[in-house]
Amino acid sequence: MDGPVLADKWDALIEPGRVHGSLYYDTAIFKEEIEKIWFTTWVYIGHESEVPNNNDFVTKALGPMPVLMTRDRKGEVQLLLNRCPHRGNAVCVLEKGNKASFTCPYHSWTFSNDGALIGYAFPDGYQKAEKSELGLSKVTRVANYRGFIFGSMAAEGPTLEEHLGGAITALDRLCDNSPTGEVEITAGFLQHRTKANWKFILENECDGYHPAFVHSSIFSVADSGITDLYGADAVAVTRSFGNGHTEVDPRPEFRRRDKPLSWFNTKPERLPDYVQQMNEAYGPERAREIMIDGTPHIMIFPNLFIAEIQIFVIQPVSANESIQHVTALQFKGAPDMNRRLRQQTMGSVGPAGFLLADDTEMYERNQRGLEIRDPEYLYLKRGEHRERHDEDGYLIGHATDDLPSREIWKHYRSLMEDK
Amino acid sequence: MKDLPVKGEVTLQDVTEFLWHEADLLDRRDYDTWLALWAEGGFYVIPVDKESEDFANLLNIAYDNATMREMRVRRFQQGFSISSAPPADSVRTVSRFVIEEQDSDTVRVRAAQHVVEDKFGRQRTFAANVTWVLQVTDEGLMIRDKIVRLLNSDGMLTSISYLF
Repeated sequence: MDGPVLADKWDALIEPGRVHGSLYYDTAIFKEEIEKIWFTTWVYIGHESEVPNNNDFVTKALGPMPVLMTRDRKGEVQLLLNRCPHRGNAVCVLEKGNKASFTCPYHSWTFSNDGALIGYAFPDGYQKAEKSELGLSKVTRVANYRGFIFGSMAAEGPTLEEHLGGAITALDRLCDNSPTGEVEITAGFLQHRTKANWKFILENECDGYHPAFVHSSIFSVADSGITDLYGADAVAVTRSFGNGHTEVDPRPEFRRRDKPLSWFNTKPERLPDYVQQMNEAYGPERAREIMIDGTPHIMIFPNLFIAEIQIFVIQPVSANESIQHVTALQFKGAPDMNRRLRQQTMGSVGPAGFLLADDTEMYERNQRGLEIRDPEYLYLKRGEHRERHDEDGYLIGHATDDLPSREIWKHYRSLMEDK
Repeated sequence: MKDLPVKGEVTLQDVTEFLWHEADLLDRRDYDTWLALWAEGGFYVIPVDKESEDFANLLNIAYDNATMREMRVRRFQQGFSISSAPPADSVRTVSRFVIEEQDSDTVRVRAAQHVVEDKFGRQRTFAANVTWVLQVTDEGLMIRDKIVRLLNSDGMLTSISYLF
């Protein structure tokens, strides 16, 4: 009888166009999500440029679990679990650095940066300990797409390419905006703590309904040029790539403007070196197309938000707490562009940013609002009547519609129901 | 009328008086008067990295030239910023002043700062080592640079909707 009972649970929690508030605060559901989503699906961990040299390491996370991302002596990127197989102590407590090996401080077991156990103290105390079986555990599957490293704790399941599906084109589009075709993550992270469930953040990233209101303060003091994108008359669309990946696609608006770098609210004269590099790399015609379309605005399920000029890595901490790790995107070999990317990132995001502090306030008020028990559901029907398919078969809607939320919940449900 | 600080001979009394005045302005959110304390060309910085001085090449929590400071203040004042409307109340203590160095035009001061904020029934505290480069002008001291090194700058921070 388990099957029908389970199905009933999700039927009641996730209805077409509305979801139950407990999905955002129930601690049992949160634990279930950790198992069925975070420790199952592909999760973005970090970028290979964060460990540029052999023996570099940096502490990252897979959901609530810390992960040690290393580049081993052979140059391979490894995702190690920072737990000594002996008694569970952390073998590394530093955020980042360069080390060929890690020694557990408790009993001095030493591990190579590919996870292998190199040695332990007073070895004659062990008769038959199999060193080869006592290395650090690793993230089960690791995949790298154009420098973006993802991990999955499931031994089997879709490949990263299958998981990303059409969203993979967004990563390509992003890299195309670099004259070298390469993105780097080198500016350091702003870490923003939010007393809200991770899914409020996920859903907000491609919600084009809120900017006109929540972000009116930045529009009133800075000429950001993005008001056209999120008004009632916007020609920008929201799109679902399936598997929970959603985007706001402003290219129709930028193509209407037909001005290179308009997406970045600047002009070619302001970034002459970058423009020249782009022309040399792609030829003037293709470079112009790339610089008109700009970078993507895509939420890759469940935790990588590429927001034109920065990335956000969303980390769940508990049912009602999350961390947003944010950094400026940097294009390899494009210093004038990178400087502007950092400046705009500092102005807009992080704890004192002009944009993100306001979004975060909304998440937190949403979370508190759920303590009020009626109505029990959140209403996500905006634009249901105007959903349609684009020429590639993906579902699209108006920039201000709830289509991204509906599609995220559809995928969420498929993962949570999966036995 | 009180004496103006003497170039090259700025005293602890001079800087203390000036920086307590600044702290008082900030707690009272008298931001226009605060903006007028600034000399040209400097930055209001809240770094993330605890060691680096290379603010231009790294992300910072804030890295404001005069235009950005002005925009930050206008955003607070206009009431459209949901994270700062209503604003948090703050009470700050600035102490442990040390004059690190001075020449005829500038004096470099460091101090400890504790800020307690109160909003929506919860209080938060921030502790910081703050460094000022003050310009000694004919009208008195002005701020050229202010670098606020939060004790937890590289940790997971909550939103900050006021000035340190």
